[in-house]
Formats: sequence, C-alpha cells, structure tokens
Amino acid sequence: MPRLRRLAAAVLSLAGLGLGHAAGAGEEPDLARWRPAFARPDAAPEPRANPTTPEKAALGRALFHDERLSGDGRTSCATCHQPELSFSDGVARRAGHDGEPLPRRTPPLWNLAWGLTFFWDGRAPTLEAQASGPIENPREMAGDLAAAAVRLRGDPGAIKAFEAAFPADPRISEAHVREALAAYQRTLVSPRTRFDDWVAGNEEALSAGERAGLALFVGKAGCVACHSGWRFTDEAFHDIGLPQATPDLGRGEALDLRPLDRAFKTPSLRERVWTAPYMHDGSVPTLEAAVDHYADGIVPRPTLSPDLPRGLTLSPEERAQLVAFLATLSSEDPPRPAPLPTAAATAGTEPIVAGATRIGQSGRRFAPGAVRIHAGETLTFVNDDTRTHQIRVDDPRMTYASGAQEPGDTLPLTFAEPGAFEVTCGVHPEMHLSVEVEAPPRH
Amino acid sequence: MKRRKLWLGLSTAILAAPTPGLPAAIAAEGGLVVAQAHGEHGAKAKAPPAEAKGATASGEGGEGGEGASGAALPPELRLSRGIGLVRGHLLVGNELIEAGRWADALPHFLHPSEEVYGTIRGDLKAFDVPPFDVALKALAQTVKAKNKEAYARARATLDERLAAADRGLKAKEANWDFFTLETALEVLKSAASEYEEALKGDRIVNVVEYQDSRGFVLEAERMIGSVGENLARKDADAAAAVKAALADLKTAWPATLPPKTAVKDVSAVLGDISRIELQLGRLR
Repeated sequence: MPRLRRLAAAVLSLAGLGLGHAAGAGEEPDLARWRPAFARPDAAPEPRANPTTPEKAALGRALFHDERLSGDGRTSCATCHQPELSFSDGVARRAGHDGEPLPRRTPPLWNLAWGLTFFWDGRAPTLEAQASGPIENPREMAGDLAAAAVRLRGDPGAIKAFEAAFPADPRISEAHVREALAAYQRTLVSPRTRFDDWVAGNEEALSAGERAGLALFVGKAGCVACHSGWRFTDEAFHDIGLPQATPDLGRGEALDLRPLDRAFKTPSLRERVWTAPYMHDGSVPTLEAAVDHYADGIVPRPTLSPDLPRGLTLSPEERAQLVAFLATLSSEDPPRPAPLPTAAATAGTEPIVAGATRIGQSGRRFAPGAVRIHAGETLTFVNDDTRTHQIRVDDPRMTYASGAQEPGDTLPLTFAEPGAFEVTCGVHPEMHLSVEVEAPPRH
Repeated sequence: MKRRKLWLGLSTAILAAPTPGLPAAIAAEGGLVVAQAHGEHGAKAKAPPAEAKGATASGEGGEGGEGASGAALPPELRLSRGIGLVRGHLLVGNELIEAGRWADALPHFLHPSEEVYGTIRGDLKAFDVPPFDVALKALAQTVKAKNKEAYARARATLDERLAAADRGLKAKEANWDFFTLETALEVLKSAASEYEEALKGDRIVNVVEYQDSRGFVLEAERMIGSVGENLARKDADAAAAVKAALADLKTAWPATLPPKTAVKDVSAVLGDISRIELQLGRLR
C-alpha cells in the first residue's frame, strides 16, 4: 500500500502559527493562540484499502476478545489490553508465557487511527501489520494466525461475521483477521475531556492552576516540543534519558542506527491518568514522577533527543500545575471509546514544486513538501535541522533507508524510474515528502 | 428504609433516640464524657449542635449515608474520618480479593469514590492533600478487570495518596494520638450505622453493609493500635478498657462473610462503642 500522506494537523498548525518551538523560560505564552494546535478532529482516518465498517469493527472486537487466536487457547488481545484499564494492563511489564517480564510496557490503544507507526519502536507501518505481532510472539499470545484462521473456519458464527464484514470476499483469512482487528482499534477514540472544552473556547473549563500548567507545558517546560497536536504526540522517537532497567535499544535497533539507540515513540498523553505506570518500560509510577524525571532525572548520554528540555528547573508548585494540566487530558471517570465518523485518509495539499531538487529538513519538516522531477534526477536532502533524521522510501519499486543523517549532513537520492513516491523520516514519521517522478524528457 | 440515628456529633451530649438494650446510664455517660472531651479539643473542633442533629438525622449507612453523616463535623475530623472510611472499604475489599471474590469486592472499591470522597473533596486543599479521586477510580477499575497485579500497583499508589492525607492532617493536629482516637470513634459510629442497615431481626440480610461495617471496625482497630502505646502512657487503664471494648465489639464480625445469625444486635454493638467513648476524656 503506498504510504498515505498525512501531514499532521499539529505540525501544520504549529508551523503556521509560528509555534514550532516552545516559548522560552519566563515568557508568558498567549494560551488562546494554542487552541487550534490542540483541536480535536471531526473524523477518524481510515486507509482506503481497509475502510472501517460497523460490521468489520464488530468482528474485530470479537476477535480482539477471542482466545482462539492464541497458542494456549486462553489468551486474547484483551488479556493484556483490558478495556477496563484503558486497553492496557496496569503493570510495568507483564509477564510473558515464560514467566519473565516482557521487555516493554503494554501500550494503551487510544487513538491509534491517527498513528503513523506502531509498537514502541515503530517497527510496524500499519495497524494491519501490527496485528499479527503480539498474536504470533511466542512470549505473548504464542499463536499462529494461519492456524487460527483454520479454527475459525469451523465456527458458523465466525463464518457469518466474516461474511458481514467482508461481503465481497468473505474468506476467513489471516489478512481479514488482521484487517478486522485494525478496523476495531480505529474505533477506540478517546472521549472529549475538559481540555477539549477549553480548546473549544470555554475559558472556565480549566482552573487557574490547570491553565498555569498548560502555560508551562507549552512554555518553560517545553513538553510540547514532542507532545504536540490533539493527541499530544509527535509520533517521533526520542531518547528521554531514562535509567535503563533492561538493555533495550528501541528505534535504534529497529533501524540499526546507533544515534537512535534507546529512542522510543512519544506516547500520547490522552487518558493517561488511567494508564499508569508510564514510559516504554513502565518504570515511572505516577504523573508526578514523570514530571520529576524531566526536571531531575534525565540520564545524560550522547543519544538524548535534542527536543528534550535541558537544565529545566521546576518548583513544587509548577510541578503540581503541570500534573494538574495533564489530568485535564483525561476523562474524569474511566473512559469509554467515543468513535468518530471515519474518513479515508487523503493526499496532502502541499503545492508541488516542479524541478526543485534541494530538500530542506528544518523544524522536522521537508521543504518543499512535494516535488516533481524527472527520472534519473537526484534530490539532495539537506539536514538544516538540529535533529538526527533518516531518509526512507518504503515502496515495492524503490526501497531506501539512509544511515543516521546528522545535522549538517547532505544526502543525495536518485529516483531512477517514473512514478509517485513517498519519502519519510524514520525518526519523525510525520515528516513527509511526495515525489512525482516523470519520464525523462526527450531531446 | 429504617433510619434510627443514635449517634450525634461529639459536641452533643445525648442520644437522639432511646435504644432498646442500651443502658440509659451508659448512653448518658457516654454523651457527657464526649462533651467534655470535645470541649478541650479546640475551637476548630466545635460544631453547632443543630447541625450535628441535622447531620445525624440525614442518612448514614447505605448508599451515600456513610459520607453524608460527616457534614457537621469539624473539617479536620471530617477529613480524617473520610480517610478512615475509605481505608475501611479497602480493608474489607482486600479480604474479598484475597479470597478470590472479585465481584463481591467491587462495591467496596466503588463506594469510596461514590459515597465518601465527595464529602471530603472540599477539605483536601485546606490540609495540603493532593486530590486522589482518580486513584480511587483507577483502583476500582483494576478490580473490575480482576487484574491482581494491576490491583496491587494501583493499591500502592492509593496508599501513598492516603499517607499524604495523613501527613497533611498530622501537620496541623497538635494532639495526634487523641485525634486518632476521636477519628476511630467516628469510624465506629459509621460501622454501627452500616451494621444496623445490614440487620433484619437477628439475620444479616445485607451482606455489603455487613462487610462495610466490618471494614470500618477493622480500620478503627488499626487506627487505635497505631497510637495504642502513647494512649497507654497517658492512662493505662483507660487504654486497656478501649482495647477490651474493641475486642468485644469485633466479635460481631467473625468473618468477611456474615454468620447465619447475627452475633450481636445493634444495641450491643452501640454499647461496646459507648464503652470506648467513655474513655475519651481520660485519653486526651
């Protein structure tokens, strides 16, 4: 599936508003101007190849709770992603089948329809691709998706459900199991909270202390550098200087890039009061402790994210304000999914620049965002940003992954054959460049 | 619904209604002693008698009752009592979880946020206690999910929040030992009300109320035990009398699941509590 262009509203908003960087210490940000950057969408995206129908989502929900997908017949997706616990499990690292803790925390499943990569290290490009991972992991569900599909074919109820979900091709196949699971997960949209009421213009929805926390979040504390957009994640990968309980290299291992060692995907902050403990290894027990980490606990090392606040000093009152603000991103009561209407993800509206061959990368954004060139021409990617990037093309016709592209590095990339290609960044998946390659001109 | 209010705020000296089986002398003495004790607790501990009567007449026990009945108490006692009721619920809830009775445990994890927290929410800030309603609800979710590992973690988080509440109260309370005893007495009063709700004749017909009251008694015992040595140093005989009365009282709750026939009637329970209350004046 060609990668869909989803220039995140958050990034666009931040750039458009000149809010790409957090306000400096001592500045009193005008909070109202942040409202557009955090506005909730009206619809949930769905891939054209797997639209979210009610029947498919219902099947996916049933499969999500179906223990027949597991090797031991006693484990389902919901065993770890418990709906009562915000589709997580409330523990730091759940024990696997061997009795030993799994390497990473069970992530909650809110708002994955907007995800750009999946798993803590982003190794799955789609929810459909992700679905089989835990099912077939010998330490998790220890299942075999092909065998599970065979089992389901003997169940008249399952046959009926697949017929309803996939009327054009009702086979009970591995692909359809994955697609149904993905469709269901796209319906797990977190409900509106008091913060959303504030975004909508109700100033009184937040207390003075909570607004002070928001001011810190987008200002002095610089949290918004990574926790951006309505979901409060940039979908990028950062080493945030956690003490390492286990030697887990995260995105660095997934991409085999040492500068990204110990980098993990920025988690969304929605409904987080219900999903403690925190971080990829569950090592931080409370929101208070999470705030303390950024002020006092960062372990210095070369791979630290450049977006991480440095030398941050927060008073006890400021820490409490930040925690109070973070709580406003969660429901007052245990949340239930609030599905949105779906809409097919559409191509971006970036104007195509013909003939441009120099691509800047400042501010985690390709500039220009869409180009038209001729086959055989070379694009030159100039890392004029302050962060490490990785140029990627994941396409059956052309697969390319650069090494770590450090600030100042220049990278040439030649497109040999005509077609439409998508270039992304392996560290910051929201960075997106469309490349239309035309046949070479005749002379 | 049967509503017979026997206990008033500590500033009142009489029982609201004659109780069959409760010696009048004990009732009168208890009220008198309490009134004396309260007089030395400090100005902030005073509550208008009228309010006290109103509070005790307005629902205790049952849904919303155990929280609502604290309205007339001084803020520090109301907060401390509320924390005690929360802990009482958790105690008995935990017993049920340990017995594998998750469904039976659930009400005891829902009640703290539904019935108690609202009565102390407004007092938290005055005592520098961070809010903990989310911690209560998150704990209840782990019980709904029947996830013991998550339960243990969420419980530890909540226990830390409650400990912070203790610290906030302790920082502003000059006579912590006596204050703890006072609080325990308030918790016992709630236990008596819940117990009354649980009973119909000599049968326990409402298991949840029985269990609520058991949790409150266990929590009161824990509270009194936490200051027991200090109380004994003040007056060994009075402390021993409290201990003996508590031991007698506890026999009404022989196990987490109720006996077929009630061990004690309400009057006997109230009598035991009165014996504790009688000692307050000597343990200031």
